Order: sequence, then structure tokens, then C-alpha cells
Amino acid sequence: MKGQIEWALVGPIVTVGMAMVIIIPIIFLRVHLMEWVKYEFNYNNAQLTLLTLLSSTYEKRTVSDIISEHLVLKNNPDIGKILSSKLDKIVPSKCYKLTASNIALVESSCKASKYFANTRIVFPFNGKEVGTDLELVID
Amino acid sequence: MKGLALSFSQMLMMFVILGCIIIVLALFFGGYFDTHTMVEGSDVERHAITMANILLSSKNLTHSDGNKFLRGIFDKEKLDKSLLKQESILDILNLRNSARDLGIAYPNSIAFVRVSDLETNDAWYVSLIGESTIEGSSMIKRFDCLWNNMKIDVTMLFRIPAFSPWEIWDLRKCEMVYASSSGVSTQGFPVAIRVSDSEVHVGVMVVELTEK
Repeated sequence: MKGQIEWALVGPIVTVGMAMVIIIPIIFLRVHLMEWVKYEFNYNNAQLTLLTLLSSTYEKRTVSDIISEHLVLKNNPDIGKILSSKLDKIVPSKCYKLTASNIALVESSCKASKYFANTRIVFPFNGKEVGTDLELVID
Repeated sequence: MKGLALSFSQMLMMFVILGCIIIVLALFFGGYFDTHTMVEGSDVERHAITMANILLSSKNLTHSDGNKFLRGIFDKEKLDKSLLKQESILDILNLRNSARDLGIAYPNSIAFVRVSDLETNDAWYVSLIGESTIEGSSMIKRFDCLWNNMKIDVTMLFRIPAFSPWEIWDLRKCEMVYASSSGVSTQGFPVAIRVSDSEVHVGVMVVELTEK
């Protein structure tokens, strides 16, 4: 009798085991799909944000020209204000960081770490370097 | 007595095994349909993102340097020509008259597109209405019905939900008669708006897609 009851317990244990085998991949697939769509969308938006920022103008000069000139000549102390005035408008989370050659050009008070976009920015002629990588991180 | 105990335990085992099979099948089909519904359900979202990406590259909206159209950089002149300039916030309710053909629309859907210049606060809007392929269903008639039955008065305080511009029976009538939506998705994308050769502003394009 005791042995038979132990056998009866095998049923629920097997059931739970099989249920887990089925449920876990589905949960994983579900989370993976949703996270992937979200990541793709936000990654695309990070690139659009960088494109929009560099294409926009400040006092009739493109932001990309202002950045490249500043990186070579270090002649614009207001670069942070100029960039944050633009990024505050187009980054809904207001969390961003723009770096060039590992130097932060602008950084919000909250730390951005989720979505990256980068491009190559061309320097004005200086006889040393042709350009550098510009990287934007947003949340 | 021993034989009876054995047959009882066998019966118990059979019930347990039967229960196992039913649970496993239920979980399998439940999980399958759950995943399937999730993928189907995200259709509206995927359509809204795809539609927005096509609009970001549309020759009707983007600036051309003579050789190619620049993705994500809208031309103010083209916005003035292809979209409607938003004069007041109530303009967005004027769905029927804002319908334009930009060469893109999903069947049985209505998309409301709004482009805003975040530096001047200028805004343009348009609605893109897809062909109706379901008999008796019309997204535009549904919106017209909702628009015509909107009641903004003191009774809004007593409605469910409170402050709703529609009575619950009017909402049901519009849903039943014309079309109920299977989903709504709203997506925002940063864009640049080229005002002149030396002036490019930052902006945002919001696409709100409602599908049957």
C-alpha cells in the first residue's frame, strides 16, 4: 500500500516537471520577443536622435560643425548648454550622454546606459586627425 | 480485501495519469495560443513602427539634396504642402477633413500623424485612412460617429469613467455599428525639420495607428 501511494505521487511530480518544461520556454520566448522589439525600436530612435541633433542648427551653423570645431580648437565653452538645449527636447527620458574620443561633451544628471548610437564626425583641417567617433547613449 | 485495495490504487493511478495528460495538453495549447495571441497583438505596434519608418523616408516629406532623399530630415515646404498646419488643438479632432493620400496606409486602419517643430511649436497633422475590406466596417464612420455623439457638458461629471466626453451607450453604439478597434499604438520619433538652408530645427513625429 505504501509503495502504491509513493507511485501515486510520481504523477503530480511528473506533471509539475512537464509543465515547467513547457512553460519556461514560452515565458522565455515571450520576454525575449518583447524585449527585442523594444530594443530595436529604441536603438532606431537613438540613431534618429543623433541624426536629428547633428543635422539641426544653432545660430545658423550645424551642430555637427560646432562639435567638430570645438573638439579641435576647444573654443566653445557653451557647447554643453547648446547640446542639452537640443537633447532635452528630443530625448523623452531626459537621460543622455554624448561623448567624443572618450570626452563627455554633455551629460544629463541621470546616468544613461541603455541605447547606443554612434557615427564618425569629420574635423576641420588641422594636419593631425581626420575625425573621431561620436557616441550618444540614451535611456 | 487485498484485491480491492489494489484495484482502488490502480484507479487512483489512472485518474492521476489522466489528470497529467489533461494538464499537459491544456498547458501546451494554452501556452501556444497565448504566444500566438501575443504575436498577433503586437501587429498594431509593428505596423505603427513600420509606417513611421516609411514616413521618415517618404519623398513627400523628406528633404532632397538633389540626388537623394534624406531620411529623418523633413522639409518645411513639403510639410506645408502635404500635411495640414495645426492652428489649434481642436484641429486634431477633424479627422475626415484631414485625410490625405501619402501613398501609405494599412487596410482597415486609420493613422493619425503629427509632426511638431519643438523649437517654434509649429505643428502639422494628417490622417491616413486605409481601404476598408470588412463589409459594414468603417474606421472613419466610427470616428465620425464618436465625434457626432460627443457631449461636453456638466453631465460629464456623472459619467463612467468620469469626465468622459461620451455616454457609455453612445460609445457602444459607435463600436457596434461601424467597427471596434483591435488595437491602438502610439509611437514617437525624433526628426529634423529643415526650415531654410541655414536653419534646421529639432522636432518629433508621432504616429497613432488604430486598426480593426
